[in-house]
Amino acid sequence: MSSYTYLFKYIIIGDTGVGKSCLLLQFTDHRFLPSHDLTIGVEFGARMVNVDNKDIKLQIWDTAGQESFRSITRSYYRGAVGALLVYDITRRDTFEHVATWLEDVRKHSNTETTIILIGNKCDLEAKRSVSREEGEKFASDNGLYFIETSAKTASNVEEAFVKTAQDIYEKIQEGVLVVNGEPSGVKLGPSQPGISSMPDVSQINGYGCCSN
Amino acid sequence: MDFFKRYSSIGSSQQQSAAETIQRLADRVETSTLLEDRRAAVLGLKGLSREYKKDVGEAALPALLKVLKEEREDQNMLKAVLETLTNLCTRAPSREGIHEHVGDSTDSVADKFSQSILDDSDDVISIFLELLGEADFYVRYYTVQLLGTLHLYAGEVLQNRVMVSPTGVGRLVDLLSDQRDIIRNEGIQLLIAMTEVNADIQKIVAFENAFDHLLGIVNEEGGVRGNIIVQDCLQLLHNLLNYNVSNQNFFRETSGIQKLPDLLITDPSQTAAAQNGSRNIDADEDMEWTAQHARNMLVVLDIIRMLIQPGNTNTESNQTAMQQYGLIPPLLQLALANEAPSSVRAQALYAIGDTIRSHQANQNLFQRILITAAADEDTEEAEIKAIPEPAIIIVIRLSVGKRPANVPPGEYYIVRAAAAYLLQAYVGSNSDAQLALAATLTPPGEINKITDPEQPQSAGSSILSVLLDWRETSKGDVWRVWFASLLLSTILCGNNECKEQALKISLGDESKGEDPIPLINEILSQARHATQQDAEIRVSIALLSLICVWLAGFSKGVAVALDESSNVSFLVEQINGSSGVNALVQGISAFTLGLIYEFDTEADTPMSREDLYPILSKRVGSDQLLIRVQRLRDSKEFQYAVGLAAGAHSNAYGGAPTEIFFDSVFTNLFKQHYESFRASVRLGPNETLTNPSYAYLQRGMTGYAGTSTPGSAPGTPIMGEATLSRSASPAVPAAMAYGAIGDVNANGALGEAVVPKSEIDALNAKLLEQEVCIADLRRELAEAVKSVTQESAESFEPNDALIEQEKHLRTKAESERDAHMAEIAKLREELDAITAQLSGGQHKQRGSGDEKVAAELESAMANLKLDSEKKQAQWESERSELQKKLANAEKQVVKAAAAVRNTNKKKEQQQASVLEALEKESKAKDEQITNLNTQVQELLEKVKQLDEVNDLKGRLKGLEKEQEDLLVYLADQDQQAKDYRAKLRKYGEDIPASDDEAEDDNDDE
Repeated sequence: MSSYTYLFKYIIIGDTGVGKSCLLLQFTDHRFLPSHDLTIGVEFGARMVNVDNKDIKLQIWDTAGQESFRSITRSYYRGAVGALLVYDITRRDTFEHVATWLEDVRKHSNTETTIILIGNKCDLEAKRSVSREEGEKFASDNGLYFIETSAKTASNVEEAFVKTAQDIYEKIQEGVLVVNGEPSGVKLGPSQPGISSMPDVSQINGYGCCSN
Repeated sequence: MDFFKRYSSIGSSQQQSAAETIQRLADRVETSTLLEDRRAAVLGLKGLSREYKKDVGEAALPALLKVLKEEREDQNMLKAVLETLTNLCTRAPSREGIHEHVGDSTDSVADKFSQSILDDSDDVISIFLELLGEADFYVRYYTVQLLGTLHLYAGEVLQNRVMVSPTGVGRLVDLLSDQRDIIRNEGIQLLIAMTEVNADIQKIVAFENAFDHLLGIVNEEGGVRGNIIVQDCLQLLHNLLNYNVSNQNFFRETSGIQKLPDLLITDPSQTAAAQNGSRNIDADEDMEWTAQHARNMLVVLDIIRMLIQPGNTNTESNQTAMQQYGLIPPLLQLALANEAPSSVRAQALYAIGDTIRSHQANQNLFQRILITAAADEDTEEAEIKAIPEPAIIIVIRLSVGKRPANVPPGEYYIVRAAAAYLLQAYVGSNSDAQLALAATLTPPGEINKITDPEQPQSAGSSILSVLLDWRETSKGDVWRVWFASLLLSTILCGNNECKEQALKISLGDESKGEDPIPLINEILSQARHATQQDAEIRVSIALLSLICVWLAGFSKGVAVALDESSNVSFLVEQINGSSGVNALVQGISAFTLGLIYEFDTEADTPMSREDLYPILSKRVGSDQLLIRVQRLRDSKEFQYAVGLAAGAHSNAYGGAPTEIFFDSVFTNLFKQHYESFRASVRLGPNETLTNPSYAYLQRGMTGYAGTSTPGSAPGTPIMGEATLSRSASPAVPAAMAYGAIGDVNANGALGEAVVPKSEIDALNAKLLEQEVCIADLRRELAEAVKSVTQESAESFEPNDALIEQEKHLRTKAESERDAHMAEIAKLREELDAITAQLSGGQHKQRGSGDEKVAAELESAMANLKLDSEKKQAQWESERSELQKKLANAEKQVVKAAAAVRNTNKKKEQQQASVLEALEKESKAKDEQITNLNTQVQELLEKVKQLDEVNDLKGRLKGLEKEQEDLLVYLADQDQQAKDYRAKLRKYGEDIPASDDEAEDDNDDE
């Protein structure tokens, strides 16, 4: 709840069961739940990260992967500045659907939205059915970042979120992204100079407040 | 209109011509090749669409929709189409006379057209959503209006259609930043309607930055003092957050809570004045509270309370954030603002209560808040005199102090109630605060001081002075005394340290030769005066409720109360009064006397239980006493208070409910203690050693029961309910169940037994089996507890084996309990069947010769009863020992766990939960035993009915057998039964019928 310089909105998308909610939980709470309920609609999570010595608040919307929720989740594409597109390295079909997901995001989101392709469950090496090279190739063909993660072991989870934030931060520095533009997934923090801050409540007239 | 004129001249009847004209225009819209012609036709239809809604819709709707789909470039035509569609779908009839066919209401016509638009196969809704992006004022305006109209007709359908469009909700939220107020306001209205229940839309709206937009508009429109648009924005904010945990999180994470204090600070000059060091607000601040201002503020307060609802997972972090961003000072300021409406002040107090409830850090911070109250009138003097006072004292004064002259007592009640709620939230699960307040309980000295508001009083003494000077303070506003009693109850409740502190207080000036009177006796004596002088009934009830809370579980207090002999005689007088005594006062007097008897356990009590017993059993009669208490429990006034405490009634905005007589502290005590109260009143003076664990009497104010919703239950903040689940309440002694037998036997009506003996035997055997089983379980439980105790004493390291053992035991107990439950259910079924059979039996007159026998039987039964009572007492003491051990074990485990908390917190929790489970098991067993007792009693009744069979001998025989089977655990039963048999044989000669049969039966044995 402390102050922050920027606020970025992320969405996490991908087929059902690839571990989207687990990635979020690992990132925000450093926890892993082996049996997570299906996400209904959209769930919200938040955490602070640091990029270039600046505090950046990430607000993350974790979407339901099931087809029936697709129309609801699409509503979130437009307002997000970062998209985490997740597949499961042990389930080839989830990788094959990545192209469809990408098309969907590209269609409904802003052109500047940073998209990162995430191959999750890399702790299950024995069951792997999508090679790292395939993932990398798809990503570079489509101009995406790529990373393999494990929500279970927390491997690379932090990196996936931070790397996305770094890219967005650079786009801001380069002027590609306009802060507080509309619609935009980037906003300034509340305690920036020039933005009105709270009055000192301890000095409210008539009541000397010694509570602080 | 030109078109209408031109075409209308064609037909002879106006109706006819209009229909024809409309058809022509519709055709033209569809088929004409020239844009101008089509546009002109649309405009013509628009002109006719209000008056000839049905005709225009039926003829032209498809054509109009086609225009929407195919040629949106022409803005003028587009506008006309949208306006026409809105006219067609609007339900409310326009003010002009409507030409319509008989039998067609305009509403159903409008609905039909709305349905056709929603049913359109080409998804015209998405076109509307796209049109929201058009810059043209009228296009946007009519589109929003049309969507609003459609939403009125089929909200859910429209919502789903909007969500299908990836940008749909976003477009709607974009309306909030439209610079044209009319469109923005229409957008707010539409969003309010769409977010009322649909959580998905709520989330998307929030995602689209609605929080920022809305707070921005509120600011632009002058903050909370602004117009109705502010209220609409706040309402929309409320919709987005209500029941939506995800959005509440998001609100906190977007610094929403940080912005809340801004909404409360209504006058910017206040901050400036504060910086100048000015100390008074009331003087320069002539804040006028318009109705709109109050409505806006109430929504803000509602939003605050919604974010910190008891028991929610987010509540604690939201409480922390609210404290951190300084929400409490402006809330306090609102609460103290005399000129603010009472509803606002009350809600502000509730909000503060919710902010600190069960939140230790916030409670501690609240404790340290000092307030320099602005004086009412004479500002100059006040500034000189003003001494900072703790906020809690000011809150107490709100609850029990004088009300502003311009506010009626019924209305001010909600402020008092809210202040009491805040106090309870403050001391709830915070025994330090409770003690601190108890320490301020000092004799008010000269009671007159309360009439002198300039004289600062301590928290405790301001309560006491209102309470003791009830004659004065209850004048015109009885709630002052009522709340003073409630506050003192709150301070004493369940905390013996506080009770002792209060017990030390004596009134009366020794220097003036007056005998010091202990406070507790002074209050009792005031209760007597209030009752005898026919004061408002609430005064007596309030004072006696306080006494009950004070005495429950507190033998020292009982001893002091007994020192004054008039106390008991006053109570007895009340209980015994048959007329002219209020039933509620009577009931609460009976409860008080019962508590005095129950807790008269001090060694040096001036009046021992032996002394009290004759009063209880002879002068009053235990039955009489219990009936009085029961009547209290069943009274609608008491039930209302219980309902209030459970949050069933909600009237935070209303005045004082006329039904309120009892406060929540008292009703909670009553409910928790009722069963053991009934049992202990029945006990003889020396049968006190059942040692039930009155855990709930010693737990202090608990945090919150979690049933209240914002705005519910004024004056009856909830507490202590959570303690119920953990307290081991002693079961009703079986003695009472057996006691009923004697009465039943004296009854004349006899039923003929048609139940096969074997069935009852089997049932009884099963019953016995159950009881043995339960006894075994109980032993196991005791052993487990013992081992837990030992192990935790021996080793401060959490013991895995112990946990394993407990787990194992629990599983076992669970499975056995399930088996028992099933069996008990079966037994019950069988019993039902028997009852049904019995009720089918004939009734027979009892012969005069039988009366003697019956008398004999009765005395025999009485003996049996005595024995079973003894057994029961034994059981009880065994059980209470078990409970004691359990409690000890729990204590030690807690101690042990505390020592290793840092390293082993999780394990501690496991242990606690296992213990709790064990405790629950024990409770479940208690319940089973009570059930079994009931069943035994039922069976005994069956036996009695069997007795009434035409053949007396057979009846007697049957009874003996039943008794034997039933009361196997009564050791000397057999011997007695034989005695009866002998006696019966004597009587048997006088009874001609079935003589031989009885003899045979006896021989069989």
